[in-house]
Parts: sequence; C-alpha cells; structure tokens
Amino acid sequence: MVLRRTSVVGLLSANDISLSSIVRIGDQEQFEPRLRALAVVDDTDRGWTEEVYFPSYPLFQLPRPEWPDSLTASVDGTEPIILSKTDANPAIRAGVVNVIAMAGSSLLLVGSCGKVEAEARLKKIRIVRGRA
Amino acid sequence: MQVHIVNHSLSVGSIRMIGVSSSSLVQVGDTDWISLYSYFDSPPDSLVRLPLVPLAAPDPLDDQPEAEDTSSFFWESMNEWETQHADMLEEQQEQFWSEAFNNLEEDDS
Repeated sequence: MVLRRTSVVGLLSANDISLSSIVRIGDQEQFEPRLRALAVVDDTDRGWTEEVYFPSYPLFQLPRPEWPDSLTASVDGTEPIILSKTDANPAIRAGVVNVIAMAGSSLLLVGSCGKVEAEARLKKIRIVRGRA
Repeated sequence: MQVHIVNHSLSVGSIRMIGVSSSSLVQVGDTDWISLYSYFDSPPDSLVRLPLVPLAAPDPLDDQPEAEDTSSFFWESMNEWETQHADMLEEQQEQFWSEAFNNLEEDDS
C-alpha cells in the first residue's frame, strides 16, 4: 500500500445516516457499494399493491461502460503513465465537517481508501391519472 | 511518462454538506482510484398514462437474460442488447398494448 497521509478532523457532525450508509474514521482498503432502486409514484386512486421485479427493466442488466484506453496511456500512446508522490506535509486537515443527511449506500470517510467503485441504478416510474 | 506530485499543506476550515446519496462518497484522505457509475431512467421516458399498471413479473422469473460481459462502449452495448432482444421487446410491447386497449374497451362497454 502506498504511504498515506494522516487525516485530522476537528469536529464531525452527521445528523442522519440511513439506508446502508456508513460513517468511518480510519483507513479502508476498498469500497464497492451497489444501489438498485425502483421509485414508483402512483397518482391514480386505486392504490399500489403490485410486486415489482428488477429483472423487468433492462436498466438493471446493462453492462457497465469501460474506460477508454486513452485515459491510462500517455499522449502519444506508447508508454504507460507512472504516478508517484511525495508528502511534504503528512496531514490533511479539516476543521469542521457537518453533514445533514446521508442515504443510499454512501460513505463518509476520514482516512485513506485504496479503491472506490460505486454504482447506482435508479428507475423512476410515474403512473398518471387519466386515459390513454 | 512519469508524473510526480508533491503534496504540501492541505487545510480546510469547514465542510458543510446538505446531502450525500446514492452510492456516493465524502472523503477526507488519500485514495488510489475512484470510479463512479450512475444509471437513471426518469420521466418523461418512464411516464405511463394508461389504465394498466405495466409492472408485470418477468416470465418466467428465473429465465432472465444475463448481463453480458461486453467490452464495447456503453451505447454500443445498449443497442446490442436491444437488437438481440428485439423479438422479445416487440412481443411484450404488442401484448401490453393489446391488453391496454382491451381494458379500455371493457371500460367503455
């Protein structure tokens, strides 16, 4: 693991942590949350009683896009980019961190994290009163 | 190509945040790499104005098309999926609309 800096936070205040959210103080190797949601708003009078199924919607089965190779290669595309760093100051400081609300597989992290790969898929459906 | 970065002092007075949502991250610290994906399907695309609720169960439930491990670009793969399942999509659509019109006729009579 690459040498990390130390994170220093004076005051951390979080009001609402919900729906699989995390507040973490300390280092972490990786973070790979997945969120799938169907948001249904029914405007009609008859109420909502149906079961819903994720496989009914192609949105939840689409493969993820791949990064283009141009992002990891140098301008002429012949050699890879080698990144290195020196930490002249070994600390990252934040005075006050104030969060009102967190929801849906999110993370508040004070510390280092190796790899983050997050994905959220949300299908919204509105059922509107009236005739076709 | 070599890139060298020197981190000097990084000091933030105050971070005030209203909301953090949907597979997102707030971090005070270092990281190697971050990649974030977000897929949304919102009205008007998903707007439904029918006397039917179009949320039928997949049929059969366990025989679903697998997510393909394509290395092609996002839209390519999306088009590919639609082309491959054109018959199924068309069939579902026809079925859906015929049911809808049947329901309408029943309502009228």
